[in-house]
Amino acid sequence: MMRTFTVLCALIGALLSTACQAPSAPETALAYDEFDQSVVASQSGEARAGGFAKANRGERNPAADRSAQMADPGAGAPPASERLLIYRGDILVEVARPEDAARAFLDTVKAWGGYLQSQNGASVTVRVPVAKFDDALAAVRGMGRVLDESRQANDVTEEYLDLGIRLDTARKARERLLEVLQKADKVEDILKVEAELRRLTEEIERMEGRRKFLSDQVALATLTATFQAIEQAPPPPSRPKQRSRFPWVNRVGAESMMGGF
Amino acid sequence: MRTCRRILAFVAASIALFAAACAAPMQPPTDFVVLQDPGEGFRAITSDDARLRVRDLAEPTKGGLNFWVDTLAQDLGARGYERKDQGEVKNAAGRTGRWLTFAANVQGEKVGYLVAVWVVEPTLPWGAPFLRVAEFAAVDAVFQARVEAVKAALATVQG
Repeated sequence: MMRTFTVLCALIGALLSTACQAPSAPETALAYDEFDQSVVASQSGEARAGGFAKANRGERNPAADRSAQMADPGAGAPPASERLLIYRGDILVEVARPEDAARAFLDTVKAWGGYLQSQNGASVTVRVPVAKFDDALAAVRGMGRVLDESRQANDVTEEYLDLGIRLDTARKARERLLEVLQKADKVEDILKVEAELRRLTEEIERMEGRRKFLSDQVALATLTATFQAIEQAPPPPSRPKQRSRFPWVNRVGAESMMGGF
Repeated sequence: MRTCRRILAFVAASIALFAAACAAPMQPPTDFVVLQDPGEGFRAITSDDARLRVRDLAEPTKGGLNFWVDTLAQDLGARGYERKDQGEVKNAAGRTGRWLTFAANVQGEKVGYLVAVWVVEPTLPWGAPFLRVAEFAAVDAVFQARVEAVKAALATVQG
């Protein structure tokens, strides 16, 4: 009787512990949705100072350092003093041969370790290592005349750190539940603990997946480059004159009006 | 008395014919000044160098209006003119003609050009048909500013 009471107390404790620190599944899903609409850091703000500008000057890029650090999502959260930024950019350039330009750009991206995410005609969306983000933009700029360009950086530091804390708590709770499971002898208790273990495991997997997604987004910038054909040049100002077979037609025209009037 | 009346009628008819022959072939839009110096046809200009001319050009081939307008459009196109617009116009005598507008390049300058054509059949059995041609040209900006007034004035072309 005492043992059952102990098991139940431990189970309630574990439940309260996870309930207080880990949000429920719908809340987690909401966090995912909110991520896409998160407030973006201005290009001229901290993000630009840390990533774009320094990369342009060939200095050490904190974002690149983080990308290496985050290759293993389970390796631990980065220091809170560093910002985790997801870089995105769009650029529209006018070139003579859009298809060729897109192909050349893709070759360059592949050489940098990036890859093609999607393509629609001469519009390509690529993922490039964040350290090469500015280089990629510069490469596109160099191919023609820039018609439009935009860049943005989403700060996901808070979400990433929060996920780390929640994961740690959830893992500890799971370990405690496993201990409880070993001590439980009643079928009813075992079933309850196992159900809670399943829920907790799913929660942990979901959080790990989200952390991995964020790591990937931070490590690789997304750039959409659209190559547009140069507008057709107007026809040459004048072609060699061809005489009409009818004399009166040869006598009319803007030349005679503007010349020997 | 009867002879005197006949003489008076003859003089009146002569004056009327003379007046008709001397009348300007069209009433140009305001701002146009008719040139008096020797030159081909009726000519008028503006201070911003828009130029208007009406003249009769002999053509032995008896082509209809459509034939001549198509020929004109095609042959001017072959000379590098870019066709812009076209329309129909009745002159002061109720004769139907057609006008065409073009963009052309004259010595590196973009020029607007309008040409209107009426086919005039001979009134006498031994007469030859001819074409009454009205032309208007100016640098593009001036052309655009004045072309509508010129199109309206085409209705005043005689014959």
